[in-house]
Amino acid sequence: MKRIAGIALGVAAALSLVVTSLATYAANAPNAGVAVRVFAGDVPAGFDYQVITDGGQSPASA
Amino acid sequence: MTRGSAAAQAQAQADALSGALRVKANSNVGANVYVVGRNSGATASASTSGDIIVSGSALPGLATFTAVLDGTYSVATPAPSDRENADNKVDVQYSLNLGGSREFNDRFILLCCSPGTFSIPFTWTQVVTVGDVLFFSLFLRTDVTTVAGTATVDMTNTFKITGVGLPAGMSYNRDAGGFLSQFGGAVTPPDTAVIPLPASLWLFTAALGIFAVGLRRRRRDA
Repeated sequence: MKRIAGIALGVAAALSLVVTSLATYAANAPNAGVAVRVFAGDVPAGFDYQVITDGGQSPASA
Repeated sequence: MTRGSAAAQAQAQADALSGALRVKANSNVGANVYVVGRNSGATASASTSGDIIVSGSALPGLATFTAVLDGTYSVATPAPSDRENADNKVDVQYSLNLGGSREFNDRFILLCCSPGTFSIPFTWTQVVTVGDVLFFSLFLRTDVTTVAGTATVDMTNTFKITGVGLPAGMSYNRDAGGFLSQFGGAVTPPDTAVIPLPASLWLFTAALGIFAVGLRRRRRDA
């Protein structure tokens, strides 16, 4: 029974890999900006959006 | 539960001090056919703008400003869907102002199936006078989408101002935001080390591990 459960879990993990990842590199002055958005899988699930308009570097993930 | 794998990444950087934008995006669906609800996509955009103030003691003269947009792309869809299809694409939009130029702008869409590069140069010449305030702006955006295969575009090297050619005896002062204060200096590339490893790889690795354990137990029991 444990074998079957283990194999079923493995199959499920291999067939349902729905991920998003995102990284942003922000502007270095007030007059600069960046925006990033990613999605994967069923929209809008996994949807993310980020806008950076001031200084600093802001990696992020979703 | 949506079968198959889907992943997307996007990154953008706007450097006002050197007058450069860097944008990169990729999306991937690990499949060769479309299934409703299985897709991935990414959008990345960057913008910057500012003024420079012409200084010096020279008479009015001709100034030349230049910029370039460089990039690489690939839209790869596996057979039997390996043909041009708007479901798998790279979409690039940009706009640019150089001093007193008109707005340079365009949008182009790249489809399956050959990877390639693009390099778009821009040049603008105008008469400038000491005291002129010259406006520059750059905007760059990309959208990548896939329902099968991969779509990637890399413009991290780069959409940038490449030349500020003022007449002899003239220079420029930066605006309050420091626009172009580091023009021509060393450019720090994006720190790609901070990009998260796609979780799908970890999940896939975990799945393989579970399979391995299952097989080992099966052999041991036999």
